[in-house]
Amino acid sequence: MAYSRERNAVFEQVRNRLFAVAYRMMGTKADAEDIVQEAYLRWHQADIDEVRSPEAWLVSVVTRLSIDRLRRTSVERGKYIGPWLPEPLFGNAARSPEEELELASDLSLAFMVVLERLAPVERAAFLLHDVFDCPIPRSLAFCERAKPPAGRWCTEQENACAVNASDFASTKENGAS
Amino acid sequence: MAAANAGDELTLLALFKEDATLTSDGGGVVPAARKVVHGRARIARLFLVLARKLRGRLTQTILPINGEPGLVSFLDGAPFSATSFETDGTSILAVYNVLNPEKLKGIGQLGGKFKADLASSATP
Repeated sequence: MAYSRERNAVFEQVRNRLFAVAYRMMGTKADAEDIVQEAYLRWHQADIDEVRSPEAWLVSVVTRLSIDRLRRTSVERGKYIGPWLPEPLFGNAARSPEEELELASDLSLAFMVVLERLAPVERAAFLLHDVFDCPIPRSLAFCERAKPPAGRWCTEQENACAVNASDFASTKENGAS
Repeated sequence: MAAANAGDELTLLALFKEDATLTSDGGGVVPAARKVVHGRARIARLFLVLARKLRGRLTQTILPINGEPGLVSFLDGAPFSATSFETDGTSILAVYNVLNPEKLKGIGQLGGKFKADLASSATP
């Protein structure tokens, strides 16, 4: 029990950051919340001893779930009538200053419209670069490896994911140049 | 917006960069421009026509949209649009106008403080 409480605590610490990544990938609040929830479930099922940096692990899970979902929804998006804009996030009264800081990374509609022009993998690469401050070629290579055949997204992928995520963790710790 | 309501085309024009753009997302659900509007003259005209057409039915308030000041409009008291502006510090480069009701649900979910703000700042 205490074990799972600990996991919860770790997750809650990065929840806002995960939401910010998923929201910028997907452009809608509901999709972003779904993905964060899915990451939460995976986090509780994960073999935690394999995970060196929970944050890196979780962000990469969220990124991959987003890429996957974007691929599935690209057809619907194609049928959208007129220009497509992200669902806006209103107000900020409910958030604490720390959360504010967390979300201060660029969420502006103008920035999201630019992101929207990138293919899912490129978008993910850019966001990973933003979150972990790692060089773009590296994050792009990481995301390209992430290309899973649609729908096949389970244990072996996740194990690979845990290893790759620690890649990012070490990059960050070394103060990647 | 005051300029639009007053039908003041010159003041309105001065707010925008010459090649500003306006992007509207109506999602095919509500009337909205289906193409990006280019050029400040066209944008200004659109704002003026809209202001004239909806006179007396529109209330507006400034609210943070994605962390930046934006404009939220209500038509007959119901959420109508959320407008974000991209500026270079002096003039508006781009306007993003979300009209799709699906994407405006967040307005109704705002906390008590914002409800109070809305009530006090919205001008009929």
